[in-house]
Amino acid sequence: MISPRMATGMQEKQYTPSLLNFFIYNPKFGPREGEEEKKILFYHPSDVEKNEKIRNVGLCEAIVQFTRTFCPSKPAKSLHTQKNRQFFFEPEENFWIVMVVRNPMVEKPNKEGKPPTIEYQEEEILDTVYGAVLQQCYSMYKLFNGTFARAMEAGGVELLTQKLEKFFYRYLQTLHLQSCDLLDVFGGISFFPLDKMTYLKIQSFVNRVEESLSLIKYTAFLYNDQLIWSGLEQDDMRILYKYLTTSLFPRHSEPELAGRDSPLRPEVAGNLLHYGRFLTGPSNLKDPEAKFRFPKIFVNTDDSYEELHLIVYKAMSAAVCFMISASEELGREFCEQLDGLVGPQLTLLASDICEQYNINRRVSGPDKEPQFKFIYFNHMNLAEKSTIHMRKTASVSLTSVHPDLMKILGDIHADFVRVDEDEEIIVKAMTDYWVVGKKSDQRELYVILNQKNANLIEVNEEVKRLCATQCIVTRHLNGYTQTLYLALIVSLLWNAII
Amino acid sequence: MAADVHNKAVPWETANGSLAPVERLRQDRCDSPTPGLVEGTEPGAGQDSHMFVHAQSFEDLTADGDDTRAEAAGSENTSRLGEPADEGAQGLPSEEEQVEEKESHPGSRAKEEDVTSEAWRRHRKHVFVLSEAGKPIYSRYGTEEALSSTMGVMMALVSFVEAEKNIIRSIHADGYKVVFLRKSPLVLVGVAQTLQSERDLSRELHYIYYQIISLLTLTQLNHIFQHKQNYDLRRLLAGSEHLTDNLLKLLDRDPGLLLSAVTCLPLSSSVRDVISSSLQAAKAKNLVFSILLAGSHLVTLVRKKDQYLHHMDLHLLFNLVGSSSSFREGEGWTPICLPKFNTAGFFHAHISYLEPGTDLCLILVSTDREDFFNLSDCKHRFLERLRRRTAYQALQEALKNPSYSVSQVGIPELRHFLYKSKSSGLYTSPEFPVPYQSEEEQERIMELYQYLHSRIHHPTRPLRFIYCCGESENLLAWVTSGFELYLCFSPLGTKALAVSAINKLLKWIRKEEDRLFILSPQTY
Amino acid sequence: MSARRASALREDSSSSSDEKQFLQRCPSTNEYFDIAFKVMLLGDSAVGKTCFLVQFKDGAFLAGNFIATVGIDFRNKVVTVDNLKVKLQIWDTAGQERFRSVTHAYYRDAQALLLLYDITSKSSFDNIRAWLTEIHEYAQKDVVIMLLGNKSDMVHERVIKQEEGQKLAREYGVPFMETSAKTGVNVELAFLAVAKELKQRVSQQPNEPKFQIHEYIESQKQKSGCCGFM
Repeated sequence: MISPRMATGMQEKQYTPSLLNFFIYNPKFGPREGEEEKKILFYHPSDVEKNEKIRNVGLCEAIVQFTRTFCPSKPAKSLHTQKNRQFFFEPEENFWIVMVVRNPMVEKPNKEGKPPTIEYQEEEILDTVYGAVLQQCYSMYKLFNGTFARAMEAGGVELLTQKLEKFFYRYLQTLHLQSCDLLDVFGGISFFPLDKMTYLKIQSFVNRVEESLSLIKYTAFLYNDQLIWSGLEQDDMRILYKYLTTSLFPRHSEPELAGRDSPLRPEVAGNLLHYGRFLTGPSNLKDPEAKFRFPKIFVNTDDSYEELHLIVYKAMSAAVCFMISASEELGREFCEQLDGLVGPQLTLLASDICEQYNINRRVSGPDKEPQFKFIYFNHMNLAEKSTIHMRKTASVSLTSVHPDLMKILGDIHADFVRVDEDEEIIVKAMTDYWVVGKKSDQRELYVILNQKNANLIEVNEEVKRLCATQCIVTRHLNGYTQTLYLALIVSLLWNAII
Repeated sequence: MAADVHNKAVPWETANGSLAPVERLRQDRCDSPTPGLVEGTEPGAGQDSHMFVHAQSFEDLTADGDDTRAEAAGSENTSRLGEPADEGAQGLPSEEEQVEEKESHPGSRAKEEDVTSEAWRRHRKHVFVLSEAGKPIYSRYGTEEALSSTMGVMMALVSFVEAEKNIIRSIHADGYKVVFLRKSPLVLVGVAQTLQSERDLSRELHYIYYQIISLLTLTQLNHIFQHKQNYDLRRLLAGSEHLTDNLLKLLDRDPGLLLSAVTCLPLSSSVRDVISSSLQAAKAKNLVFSILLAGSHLVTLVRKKDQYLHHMDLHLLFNLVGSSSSFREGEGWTPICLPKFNTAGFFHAHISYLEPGTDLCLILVSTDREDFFNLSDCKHRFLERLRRRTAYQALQEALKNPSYSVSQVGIPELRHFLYKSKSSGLYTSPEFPVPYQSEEEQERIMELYQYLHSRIHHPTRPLRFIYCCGESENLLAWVTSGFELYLCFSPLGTKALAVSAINKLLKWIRKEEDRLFILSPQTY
Repeated sequence: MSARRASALREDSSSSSDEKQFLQRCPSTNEYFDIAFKVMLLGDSAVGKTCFLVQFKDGAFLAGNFIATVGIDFRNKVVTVDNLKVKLQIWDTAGQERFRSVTHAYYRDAQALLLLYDITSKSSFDNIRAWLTEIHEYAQKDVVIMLLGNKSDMVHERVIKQEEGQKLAREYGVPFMETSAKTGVNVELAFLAVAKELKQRVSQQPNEPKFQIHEYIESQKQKSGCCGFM
């Protein structure tokens, strides 16, 4: 749990933020004294002594109640203490999820015999980031389990606690609190840039499949872990996208890696040869023992409350999600039919996309470290793009900038959230990096510039110039809203200059 | 007087050392448009010695608060100087035990508010002070009685977290935050809907804490609660509520408290020098500080050699003078603890206005409780000396324009600014212009400055520079080793304009520094 | 404790010249005077000491919110007593206990003490005994003391009967009357009586009859209550 990182002098030990507690309670479940334990539906770590659990839940209840003195409708969202931060979230009425994160700390050794001095770094954790992580925990639970209330209806507290236990036991191990940042706040979707022709090809592919296999209710198409097409509601797609890109895809990434850079175009003779395979359900159709069970997901929980089979099928770097009502029985026959239909087409499509992608890359010139890096997010379509994050996987988010700069981005974002108007903030950090943040018309753009000696005007000019070179990148269709999102970035950058 | 502060033996350098400039400022800067503006040579820097204890920023104010952060609710070591004895502490609480002054002070403040009402909740900033037994000591809005259960809960939260060997700092919700400050034997809680950072609110709570210390001394406060944990401190603080009320108003509106600096009455340096030397001549054996104020502006300050006044103590004196009308008429004589100087002992302050109807107020601070007549005499000597000089006429003239308009700088888009010279601890700022003249607007622009200040002085991610374009104004803040600058432009101002405005403004301040700052501070 | 004849004035080092020399210039009021005395106002917080002083000095009543006096407030007023200009140096004190140590320090400079209670506050009346004990301890032996029941205009809120005040005053042998800082009833009289008494102590002529402060105020004072002044 603790990941010591050696700092200078081989003496001080630096500890990153870590999860101390995670619990879910409902104050209505044990209203009488002596029954407090009944309020607790889930508690991590489970081996915590009962009275301590009750005490910690009690504190949260007290904090929430106390803040209602000042605003009955907006109770506490976080508690800051010297050693940790606690985040409160009430996703459904009276159901509270609490996440306790220990502040990062430095352990300084003392003279022989004395215990080391511990210094807590109280200003390092950003509320917006971890508040969003907590909400994401619930969304992920809901995607695979439905709401708390439905579980209560179906099987009472017993079923709910079982579900919580089963889900969070595994899920919490995948939380990597030390590498959370602004992208967790946005929870956006990265779209694959595409020319219009290829985009239309994909669209017609989806239409054809949905026509042939009428059981399919929703389809989503991704390439290179980036979304191209989705029939789901935005919020459902957002969390499904998170699951696919941080959990499912990384677990199945190896075979395609080769195909990515050498678009080997297979000789397609009938449907003999293709690279298609199931990422959920049967791992090998030829296997007589193969199981045809697919994970279930819950979407549209606010209104129609649909339970669906999630079929993820992948060929090279292209992946398609097919969602089918959970009430349908899916067996070998269906899977073979789907494999036969989708496999060859998807293989073809994947290499088309790859080819197109490489052409575009050649046009825009070889990859070289640019003088600036940016994050872009559009609240309307959840589109997100980052040149700061080299690769975002379940375990690590590799960023190419210093963590303090990432936190400055977070600070600027927090400032944007507080004021409901368009704003621009330009700061110069002590390390002389310039950071530009701009909020305009539901879009946010953050640029980090490594131009130490520039002044405010020069920063503006630099952003303008860099922006112009980025404009060479051909027009890419955004599959989701069919807008030219890079053009948007460009226009935003232009606005920033004036 | 054993009870009083007499610390000639203790040079300030020791304490000054602990208030050393923060490390991040050590680097050399070449981003200055006017290179060479390093600490001590910036516009407004004093020529000889400084008047104030060095305080680079508000972090210094909370320095001892930070110590407790590090030592995890450990006991603090507050009394640094002077003898701890304070005869006021002995016997006082017990002496009047018989008299339960429950009737408090009739009609003292109109705060009989319904504390469950929407109007009460809507106050932008609540402040509560309570004892460690959870007893109410002060509430900004609503009576302490009506809020006693709320304050009980506050104390319960504080102790609950402490039981886990942890310290509660703050609670955050949409639109407001609750900040806790534990300064044994008191607990202070602020609830604010402002944009201020947690640290900024904590700084304000420190001010309130020191305001209380200035009335009682920490020694007496500790003594009281050691003897009777359940003591109702409101009895000892009776009549001081308006001081705290007024201090909270200053915190919302006075840039000096934010910048940890003091502003001066614009005055030609020759006139100021005559006043300073007249004040210098009117000395007495136990006189430590002579301070001449014009409203909230400092005219001059003369101090005993080697004794420095902390700007926070000076602000507490300003607050005392500004919130009491009684000094207007006669001569006031009051014990006052200057907590940044010494939390253990009382000084005695002679406070009087120079003449009826004037804004000039003289504060003479002595170590001797019996010094009233000596200081009264000092005042008359000063006044007589001053009246004979033409400088007095010039001072009277200057009083008519205690502030200046931003238009004098000649940058049309510039609406307002704050400039602080770090080495002298003095700042200058024009009067609030038209869009910011109402109390609400004034508090709003102060809130923006507070925001810039907290971003630029972030404890772990400080910035050199920040520029914000909003719909109502464009803001800029820039901190170097020598100065801090905060500018407010009209929303039409461009970035290019902002950059040229900095240069123009710094040149203007350099040109006016004789008038705007005290360049040659005096000692007796 | 009743006012006794004083043969001479105690010299105070810090204000030595004031009392001796006639026709001095008083710096803060620019008025000439023949003789100066120090008078101190005492009593619990919020009994109306500052209002009492302001009524005497400026003939006005400080309406509005109560603002506590900080420490000690020192003011002068020159009154004419038997054709003599008498400067009263009046110490208005803060009633709060945290200021006791400062007020104690200046008790011994005072030649007269006006001790006030509030007729609508029982505790302020009950505390009078404690105040008198303090006075015994810190004040000069021959100090002139006068007990005043203030706020006599607040007829409906009254909790201390006039007789109770009278009785207490008799017990300690000090003159007594009820006053109102709001209407001005007996305010000037209190200061004048003190001034007469003090003046008479320093400048009594052999053939002059002894000034009787008790009798003087009994004859001069306006009765408070329903049938009172106005």
